[in-house]
Parts: sequence; C-alpha cells; structure tokens
Amino acid sequence: MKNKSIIYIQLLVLIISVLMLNGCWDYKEVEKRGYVLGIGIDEPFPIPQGDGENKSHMSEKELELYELQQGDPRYAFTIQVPILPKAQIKPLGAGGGGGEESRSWNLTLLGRSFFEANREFSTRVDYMPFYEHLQVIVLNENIAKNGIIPPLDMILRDPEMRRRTRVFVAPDKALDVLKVSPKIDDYASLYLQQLPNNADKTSRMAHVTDLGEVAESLHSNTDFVLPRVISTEDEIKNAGLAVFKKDKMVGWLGEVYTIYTKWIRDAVKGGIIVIKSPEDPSVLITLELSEVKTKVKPIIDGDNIKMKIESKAVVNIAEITQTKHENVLDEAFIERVEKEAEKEVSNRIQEAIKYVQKKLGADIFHFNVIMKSFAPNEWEKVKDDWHSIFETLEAEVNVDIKVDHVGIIK
Amino acid sequence: MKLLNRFKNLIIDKNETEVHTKLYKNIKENMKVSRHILKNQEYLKQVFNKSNDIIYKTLTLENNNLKLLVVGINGLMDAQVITDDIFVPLKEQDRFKDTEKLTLSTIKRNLLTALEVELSNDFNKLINSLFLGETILFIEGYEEALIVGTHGWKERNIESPQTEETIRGSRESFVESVGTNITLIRRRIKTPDLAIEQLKVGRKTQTEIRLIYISGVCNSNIVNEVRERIENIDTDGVVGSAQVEQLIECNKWTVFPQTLATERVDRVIGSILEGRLAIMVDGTPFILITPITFTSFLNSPDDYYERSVTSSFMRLIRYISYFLTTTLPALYLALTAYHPGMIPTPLVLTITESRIGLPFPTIIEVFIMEFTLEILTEASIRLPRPIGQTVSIVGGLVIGQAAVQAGIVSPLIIIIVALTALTSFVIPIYTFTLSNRMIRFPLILVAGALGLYGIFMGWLFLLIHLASLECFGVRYLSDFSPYSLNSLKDTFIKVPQSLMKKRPEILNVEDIKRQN
Repeated sequence: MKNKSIIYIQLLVLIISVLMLNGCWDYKEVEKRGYVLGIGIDEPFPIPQGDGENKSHMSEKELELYELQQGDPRYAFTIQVPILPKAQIKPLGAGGGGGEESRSWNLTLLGRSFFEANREFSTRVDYMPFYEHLQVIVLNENIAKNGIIPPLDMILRDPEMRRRTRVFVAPDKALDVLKVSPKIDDYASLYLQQLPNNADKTSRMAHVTDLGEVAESLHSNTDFVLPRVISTEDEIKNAGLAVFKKDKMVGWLGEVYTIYTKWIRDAVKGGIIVIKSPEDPSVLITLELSEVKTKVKPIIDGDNIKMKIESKAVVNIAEITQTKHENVLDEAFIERVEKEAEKEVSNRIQEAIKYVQKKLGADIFHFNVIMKSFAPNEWEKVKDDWHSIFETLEAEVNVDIKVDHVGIIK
Repeated sequence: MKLLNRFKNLIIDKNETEVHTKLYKNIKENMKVSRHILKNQEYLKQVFNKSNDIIYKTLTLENNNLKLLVVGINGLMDAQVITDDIFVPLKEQDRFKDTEKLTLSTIKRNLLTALEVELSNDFNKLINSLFLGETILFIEGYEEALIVGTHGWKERNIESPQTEETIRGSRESFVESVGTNITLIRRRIKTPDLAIEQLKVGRKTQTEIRLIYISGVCNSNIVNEVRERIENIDTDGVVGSAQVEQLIECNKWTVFPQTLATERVDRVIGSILEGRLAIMVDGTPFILITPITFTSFLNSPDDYYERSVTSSFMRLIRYISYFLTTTLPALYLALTAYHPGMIPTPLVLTITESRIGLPFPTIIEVFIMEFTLEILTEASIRLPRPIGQTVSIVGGLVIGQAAVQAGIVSPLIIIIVALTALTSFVIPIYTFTLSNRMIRFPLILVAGALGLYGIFMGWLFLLIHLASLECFGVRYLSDFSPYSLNSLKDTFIKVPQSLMKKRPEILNVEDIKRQN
C-alpha cells in the first residue's frame, strides 16, 4: 500500500514536470506575431524609396539593402504586416479605422533568397513574421517572365504557407499594389484576396488560382494562368490573365478572352455575355449566365487530333437595349436569341483558342490533361512535342444555350 | 492514501467501537422494566443524566388506584396527540368508580386511542423509541411498558425545488423528513411492488435510510449490493445523504459523482420506474439515485415534458454547453497561443488588436478571470440572498468592465469566461457542475503547455477515465458503448415517448418492457 502510493506520487510529479518543463515550446502570444498578409516580389528597384532630402535621418537605403552572404540581390521582397492600434475602449459611434492613415506597414528588402530576407526582417520588426495568414502573393511581370520557381521556392517549401494563398501578377511594381490603401477595407492584401470572390458576378477574373494550383501546375509541368492585378494610387483592379508556359510568363490575356478561357476550362461561375439582337443588330441583349457546363474530349483520327468542346449553358435575359419592349414570351424570338448566343459563344471560343495558339503558345486550356485522361496511349506518343501540336490543334465547338428567365416589366 | 486513513480514524474512534456494543454508555445490558415506576424513572434519569429535554410526568388514577409514569422527549412528541390519546381517555375512564379495574392490557386494548401502541420490557428498545418521538407509559405494578406512537415535530413545508427548476414539471420537492418524502413517492406509485426497505446508519445519529425501488423491475443484485454497503457503514454518524453517497460509492478518486442527488420528486419517480434505486436519507432533501450513467446528469425532467424534437435540441445544446464549459478557455488559449493560423484572419486581427499592450500572457489572463469567476460563484452562494444579487452585479459587470478598461485583461477573455459560466449553469445537476471545474483548470494547463495537442491528450485521458468508471455493475459510458440502439434513444436525443418501449438495457433490469 505504501509503495503503491509512493509510485502514484512519483507518477504525478513526473506528469506535472512534463507539463511544466517543456517551457511551453511553441507558445507565442497572439500579439507577438507579425501576421504577414501579403508578399510582393519585384525586381530590385532604385533605392532609396524614402525621403532622400531629409538628411537628419538615414535614408531607407541602409535599411533595405543588406549584406548578403552569397550572390547579389535579384529580387525586392516586400511583406505587408498590419498596424494594429493599441487596445482601448473606443467610445460608441467613434468606430472606423485609422481614416486617412494607412493601416498596413510594407517592409522591403533586396535579396536573393527569400528565407534570408525573411530572417533579415527580424532586424527591423519586433515580431516574428508569421505566414499562416498570408493572403496574397503579388509577382511583378518581369519576375514572372524570368521564371517563378526561384522566388517562390521557399514559399512552396515552408510549413507555414497555406495552399489557399492567392497569387497575382502585376504589370507594375508589386509593392505599389500592396501600398494601396483601399477605401473600404484596411489592408490591400485582404481586399485583394476577396476580390476574386466576385467571380460569380463576372468571369473576367480568375478565381481558382491559389498557391496550391500553382504548385500543382509547376509539378505536373502544365501551363497555367494567374490573375492580373493593376493598381492606381488608391485602387486595385483584378481582371484578365497572365499566361504561363511552364514556369515562365509569356504574355497577357485580355478580359474578354479570359471569359472564354474560363468557359473552356469549365470554370465559369457566373457573369454575362452580350450579343446583338437577332432582329436588329443595333440592339444589344445582355445575358446573365446562371449555369455553364463544359466537357472537352479529344477526337483522334489516325495522327490527327481534334478537340471537341461541348458546352451547355443556362442564361437569363438581363437587359435588352431597345426602345420598345419586344415580346420576350414569344418562343420564336427566344429561340433566335439562343441561336445567336450559341453562335457568338462558339465564335469567341474559337477566337480565344486561335489567339492563345498563335500569340502565346501555352496550353492554358489544359488540352494536355484532357489527352492524358481520355487518350493515354495517344498522349504517350505526342507528349514530347505537345506544344508544337497544340499550336495547330483544331477545335470543334458545340454550344447549347437555353434561356431560362426572361424578365418582364409591365 | 495516508490522508484517507487519518480521515477514517477521525470518523471511527477506536475506543468508541467497544462502547458501541452496549449502544449507550449508561445503559446496562439487558436491563428490564421494573415493577416500580420510580425505579424506572430513576434508571432513565441515570441514563439521560446530561440530557435536559426528557419529560417525566407522573399521573395518578385515584379510583383505580393506579400510578402511571409518562416519559417523552420534549419537542419530538406531538403534545396534542398525548393529551387526546393518553391523558383524556385515562381520566375519562377514571371518573367512574364501579367499573372494571384498569389493567395494562385493558389500557392498551381499549383506552389508548393512538394508532401505534406496543408493549415492551426491554429498556434498549424503549430508549430507542424515545428518540423517535414516541411516548413511554410505565404503569405501577407491571414489568412491561407501553410505547405509544406520538411522534410529531416541526417540519418544513413542501416547497418548490430550489436547485433544479423546470417549466412544466411538478412543483413539489422533497423535504428533510423521511416520512413525508415516502408519502410523496407513495402517492405517485400505487403498486404493492414498490419496495421501501428500512436501514439505519450511524451509532450516534441512528439516521434512517430507506431504499426505494420496484421489486421485479430493479436488478436485485444491485439492491443487495447497495443494502450490503449501507449495512457495512460503520461510523458514529452521518449528517446528510452526501456522506452516505461517499461511503457507498465505488470510485473515491474521481471528480464525477456516481449517484445522482436530486430534490425533484418527478425525477426520482421517473428513475424508479426506469428500474433504478433511490436512497433516501433522513435529514436531507436530496434523494440519491443509483446506478447512474454520464448521460443522466445532462438530462433534465423538462426533456420528458416537452416534445421530443424540441427536447432533443435542448439536449444537444446541453452537450455542446458541456463541451464549452470544460474546454472553451483551453481552446481559446491553444488557438491563440499555438495555432493562430486556425483562426480566420479578420478574427485573429481583432484578437490581436484587443491584446496589444496587455501586461499578462494569455494563460495568466485566463487563470485570473476563471479564478475571479469561481470566487464570484462561491461568494454568491455563501452570501445572504439579497446581498448575493449585489455581488453578481459588482463582480460581473463592474469588475469585468473595470478590468478591461484598466488594461489588465482583454475584452475577449471576458466573453470567454462569461460563456464558460453561462454554459456551466445549463447543466441540470449541480454536483456535476462542480466536477466541470476540475476538468476546466487542468485542461487550461495542458493547453498552455502543449496547445491543441494537449487538449486532445486531456480529453483522451478524460474519456479513458470516464470509460473505466463503474458503479454497481453499470459503466459510466454504457449508454454509448457497447452500441445499442435502445440505450441511444435517450441520450443526445430523446425519441418520442411512444417509441421508448423498453427500460434502459444498461441497468440490467428484471422486467424490460414498459409499453406494448
């Protein structure tokens, strides 16, 4: 009995010391982390960024340039951390953010390795940069054109990174995109991250292009697209696509082409198409997409490969720019509208395919994936020179559009 | 273990156990009633030499030439009954000179109008019945005495339950007296199968205990086991049912109660009908129900009064509340300190914002506020009712608000602690609420040390512990495992009454059928 109780006490002491002696290994107060909301990767730009006139302080050059262990700076890494105001009870009605003041802090470092720069940030920020809340990565066009694997390597490797982080490409400086302080949100990164959620309203933006997608495409060697983001001093716009061939960006794709690229990729969540009225070409009919389903299959005839794109869509008539109301309940009229829309969409799809084949040469429609899954034997034969085959690939487009709601005002 | 032994020694004094065989210190063994009432009086006075509340009243019936001695304990007897049933009939009879002479047997047979009259010559028995409030009638010349049932003392009225409120349930709750409590049960279960066994516990308190069950339904092994355990209790006295509970329970070192203490009559009735056993202890309005499982503590009688869909929803709310009240502070701590990546970004920014500039780490903050909460709860129980209200206002509103404004704790922690408190009051049984604290604080500790991993380890440990608890052959988690559809009907959800055709299988009842 006595021995047993001693064992119990010893066990208890052991358990308690296990709890107490581990020193709360990963324990980190929530406010002691620097939540990195966005990363921007640019080419090294001329420094200083800061106020050069003010001689009483060092220019930012001393901060942003640092001694590298190896090599010379090839990228300008920017991280965005939120500036959180001190906790205090705000009087009722005095809510709102900092007003004109920017609520985010963008730190830039020139370097070669992102990880090295990341650790160098610790010389400037009290908090450990923490990437689990990373919302967006913005890449500068020139960086993207030189290949995105080297700058993204650490991001794809690190356990703190999340698949859901969205990746954008900016024709201007990525830093400028992050610097924007949106009118109705506090942080450019959060704002930008939520913009693609509007993809059910317009198909001019990509919405499934997150870090996980990029990683998958890079690993499977497929071409891919990333959304384009442009910015002014206080605004951000997300529309259009940056086209990547393997890991290098090859060019831009316009907004209308974006719609039909998404159409082929079966990624349309919503949006509109505008057609000319079958009765009067000066009248435009706007159709709202409520459901689009696309199936792509290869047709193989000897050595000749053709892609068969079959698309079914349900649309609503949203607007007709006319002076008098047409009878939209007239079935013949509806049928003609459907025909017109079908013609328009299949022409546009053909056009988009031609444009990408000629100008960009990147298989962003994932025809190679289709080949791999529907004709694996053929794919083995053509996979080595797929890009040259892709450039001359024929496509057969069948679009079937049904008008569902017509909308009547009386 | 040592501590327990020392505690045991406190309860059972070794010197006293020898005296116990004699029952009372001043009583001689096998002392019989004497012919002379004065001798009897002398002996009783010697026995009760320190007790001042014994009443001796000598009565002379002149016509019959009889001397009587009436003995009783002040306050335990009903004076009205004594007058009406003893004095008045005797005096009435004594007015007539030429009637038959009164003898012991005629007095017993004809004169005493009380319901219970008994003859005895054993002083031990006489003294025992004195304690029960009976009156003893010694008659000069006879070696036997009459015990007249005159007990009657001040009792609390039957009131509505103080600790377990329901909306549609009966408003009656138990009182301290066993007799009244038995009638409350008997009035609702009208069958000769209702077994009411009488037991006594405590050398000095002689506390009355009743085992109540339906014979032919309740498992007789359980009844025998409980009876044996109660009979084996060897203590000088128990004050309430809680001590009996602790003396008969199977697992001493657990925070979970193994009998359900309730003051609701309908709850006891329901449990007895299900095939459980009720243990009634004189002096406590809380009846113990055994055997019991984990789910019983999260059930409220209200569940059976409302429609099954709504009460199932309330059950779910209660189970979620139970999880929240035990784990919420730990979860908050683990998520913010270890895994802020698992909190949505806007929320993590809000939390961070509210914590900037605070002096204490989250774990200390959680402890400060949880501790304050426990102090508040304890204070509001201790204080007189009117002041208790003030305490809750001062504590809840003023301290909370002031602590946030002074920048000692973050407003979020106030929400967390308030939620913990609220959810803990959702649990219908108070003794079970107490056990939650013993889970909450260790969970906060392990969450502070190991994060979510610690919480999972803690819950795993808790589940292992819960699954290993067993009392009177019924496991604590037997509603859930081994799987049985019948026993799941009354757990997270409550199926309509018409579908609950069987008694719970886990109780090993002798008659499982309830409805056809």
